[in-house]
Amino acid sequence: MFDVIRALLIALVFLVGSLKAESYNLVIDEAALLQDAIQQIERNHLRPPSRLELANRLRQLAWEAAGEKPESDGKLTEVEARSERRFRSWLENLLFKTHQDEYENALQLREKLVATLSGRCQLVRAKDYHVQEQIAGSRYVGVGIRLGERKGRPVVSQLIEGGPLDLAGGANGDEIHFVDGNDVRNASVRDTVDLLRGPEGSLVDLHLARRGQPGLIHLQVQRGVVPIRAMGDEKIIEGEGTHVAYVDVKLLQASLVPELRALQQKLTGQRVRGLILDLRGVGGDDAHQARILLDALIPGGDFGYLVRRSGSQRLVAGEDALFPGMALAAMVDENTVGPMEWVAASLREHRGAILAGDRTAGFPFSHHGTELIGGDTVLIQPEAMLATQLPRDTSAPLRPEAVQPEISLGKEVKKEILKGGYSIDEILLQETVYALRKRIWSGFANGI
Amino acid sequence: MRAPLSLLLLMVMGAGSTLLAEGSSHLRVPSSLEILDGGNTILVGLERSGEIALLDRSEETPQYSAVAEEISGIAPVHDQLFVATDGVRHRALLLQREGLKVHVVDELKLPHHPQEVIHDPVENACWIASSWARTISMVEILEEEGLYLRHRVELPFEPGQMLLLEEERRLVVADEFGGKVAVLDLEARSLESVRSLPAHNIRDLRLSLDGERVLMTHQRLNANARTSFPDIHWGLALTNAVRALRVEDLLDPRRNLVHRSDLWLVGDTGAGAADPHDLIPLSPDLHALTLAGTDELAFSSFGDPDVTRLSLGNRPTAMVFNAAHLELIVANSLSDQIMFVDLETQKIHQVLSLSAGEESSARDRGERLFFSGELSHDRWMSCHSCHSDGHSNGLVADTFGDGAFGAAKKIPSLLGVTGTKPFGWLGNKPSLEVQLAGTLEGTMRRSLPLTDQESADLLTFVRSLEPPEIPVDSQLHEEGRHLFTALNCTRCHEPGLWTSQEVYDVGMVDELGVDQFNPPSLKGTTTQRILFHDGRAVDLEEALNVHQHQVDRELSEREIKALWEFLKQPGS
Repeated sequence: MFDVIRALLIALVFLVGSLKAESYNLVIDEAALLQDAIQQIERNHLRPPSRLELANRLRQLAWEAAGEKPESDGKLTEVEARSERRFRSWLENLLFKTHQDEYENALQLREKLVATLSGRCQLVRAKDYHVQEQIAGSRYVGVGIRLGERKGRPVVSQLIEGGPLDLAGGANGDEIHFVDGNDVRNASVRDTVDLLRGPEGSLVDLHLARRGQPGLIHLQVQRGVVPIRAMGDEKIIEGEGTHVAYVDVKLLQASLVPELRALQQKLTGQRVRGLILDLRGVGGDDAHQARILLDALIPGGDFGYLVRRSGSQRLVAGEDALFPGMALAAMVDENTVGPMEWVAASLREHRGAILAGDRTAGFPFSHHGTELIGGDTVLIQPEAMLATQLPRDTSAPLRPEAVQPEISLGKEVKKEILKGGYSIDEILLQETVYALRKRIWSGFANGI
Repeated sequence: MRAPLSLLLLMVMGAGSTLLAEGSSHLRVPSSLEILDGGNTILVGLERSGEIALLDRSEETPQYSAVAEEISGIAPVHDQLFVATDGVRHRALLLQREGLKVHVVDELKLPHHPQEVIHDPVENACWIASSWARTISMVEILEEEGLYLRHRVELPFEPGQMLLLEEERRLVVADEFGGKVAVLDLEARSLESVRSLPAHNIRDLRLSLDGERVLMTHQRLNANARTSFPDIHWGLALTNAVRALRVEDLLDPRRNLVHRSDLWLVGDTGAGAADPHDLIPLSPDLHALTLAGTDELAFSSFGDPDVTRLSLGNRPTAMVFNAAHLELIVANSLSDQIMFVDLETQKIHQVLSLSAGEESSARDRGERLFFSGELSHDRWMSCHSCHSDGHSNGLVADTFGDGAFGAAKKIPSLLGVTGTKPFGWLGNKPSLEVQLAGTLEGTMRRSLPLTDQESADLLTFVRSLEPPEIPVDSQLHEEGRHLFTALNCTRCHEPGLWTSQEVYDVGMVDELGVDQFNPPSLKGTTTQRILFHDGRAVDLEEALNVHQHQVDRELSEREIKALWEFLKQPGS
């Protein structure tokens, strides 16, 4: 019934002749696009604004785009907000009215609306999102290079050891001229990357120029999983009977726990009593990977909450923990962000880890992607928050909290260190090792 | 004698691939092994044919003696006298040996479904675990000619593996499905402690060579992981393990068993090691371990990542160490073979086929698939890894069965699953075929679907699984039947299959906001550890009185008991 009325209304407008037929369809498609985005925000954003608030923001943006002040009437009413059909009708009406000479399409409106949301929301291309998922799962598929630019030309800036291009005979510094016959000599890095990426097992033809070699080198490369380690090799800092291991964590990804497990096996029988995890500069966006890591390191008990729009879930660690009997420390800084901030805070609270370095970024949220209509765009929104304690008011706006380490050098001290010609990193590591040893000597073994 | 192994294996595989109409099995299924006469005689318990096989180590064919419906366990009292259990007739048998033949001297009725049996030389008695009856019985052996039931100890779980701590006069009893471990004080004849480990499918308990640790093989399901491809691939979801518990911790009921235990994971990324089974410590630095899901024998020091893995036959389970011949003897239960592995070369040097030339049925082939790690990505797990011997490990798992990750669901028992469509907690799988395909892809992360033949075979096996027959108190059962109808439980759990095809909102919501669930069949409910889609209730009392599942009043203790009794055999 309602559809009929809507059709009649549109037909009426059509008769008035203020808009051309194709524009009606456009308005309807645009309204569907915005309605979908708003529904996804309501469904998946941790603390979404109300529909009235979202509609109001959209109204402002649409009129701004039209270069006019919003009409005094035309605000979404409570009644309209409650029904998807009425809301759709309101959206169509808004788009219809603001559909001016300086045309602003719904895609741009959607992007602007997303920018008004809290919690670092953004729209990304679906293919880029899937690559992020692959990286989080330690299953990145590609040719195994980092792509740079030299004099406007795409160049292999870093060849990943054991990756497909490495195995096929590529080298660092190779200039990429053609990808599957496409001339990329003047292409952007992004366009080149798009051509280089593809499904696992697929083939890509590359023509490369290498310094000191005449002509182009032709390589056929089979795309595959690129081995990217989550952490660097361990260093053992020896001390009288109390060795401490240090490991630089580079990525919060699925292979981190197996890599730590292998490290534990390697350290067995080496008299290592402490472990420093360097979490500086590590972010990651995936709450699941943080959950897996904390489960592996914390010896049983609650370790926080996973908070989603649909509800919160208490997290309980399995009773087995890696590095039993070892004291832990974690190094953090302002680039330790997102789930890694929870990791640092939870290791301190539930495994007595010593934290060293600088205050963390203060954005302890993870993100979650939702595919929008059309399938080529993903809306990234804050989905989860892992807190050692659930905030009392779960409907409150996002309130980021940074983690303050107990061992921190401070600006003045850092200046002195630099003046004396020493390295801040080395001094911080020494301080951390010292604190860790003190703890080990006092017989504290992180509750295990 | 060095048998041409590849040839023998080919012969066996050839036999296995012969098609046969669905029907009863010809498999003998060697399930227990013992060494007699200083290593010169091998005693084999054949589960399905109910036979005892005795093999003179210098001969090539054993002598068979049919003594039972099923041999579920066996323990030698000495070289000439054994106690075996018959899991079908619920009896203990005292068996006397004459040469390579045995005959029954005495029989004793036991609590239902006896399986493991262990001989206690101090009391000249046997301790027998009756799994579904959740009971341990002490059976005394009188004058080598009679069996006498002395004591019964009830447990809060189905007992499986047992280990006698002879000096300490304790019996360690492991859970057949989940991760519980009980310690029985043998002098007080009482239950001393029951503790839980993050474990399931505990398949062996052995004392370490220094006598200070109890080694156990088990599996672990990480409640924080999901069955996404990365979590399976990186060994984050289901892991296969050997754990060493300290004897002193076992003896002190106040101690936490986990925190001072050592845990070694078996298998690695790219090379999972599904279903670790029997374990033998050969030296402080070397252990032999059968991997029942990958058909292998592993030699490992458990501190060193280097593991040697040797291919055996189908589903190697039981294993014994024959010191006299410096060999390991392994029973490949689903290819009806006994294999002899030379310890010096770590190679197979003899294969003995127990039912060579027999054709296998669809059910047999399906059974092999059910227990095979080949069904999963990198051989991390078999169907049995979660559906323990067709039942359930009693845990929840975050699989893709409900179409999304984030809301873990109870792992259902497959006993009695046939006909109970639709499948899945959301009732979103119309047939077992669809459910199976979904599990292979979304849980086990197998890259290729099974062939139609394999799928049909596997389902033939799954459809043959039935819940155990559990004896009931007929008066209480009748009371429960009336109550079940009076409370209108039949509205959703319709008589017959005790389920219905619809989904209902019963006032429960999962983490993803779903509130419509398909009622599970109540067949075999009383064998389950947790109830509801997420296992939020541990018993019927909690389900009805705490969660008020479709009842408008509090039920009395007697009413709960009557309903429970009824649910033991709702169809009878």
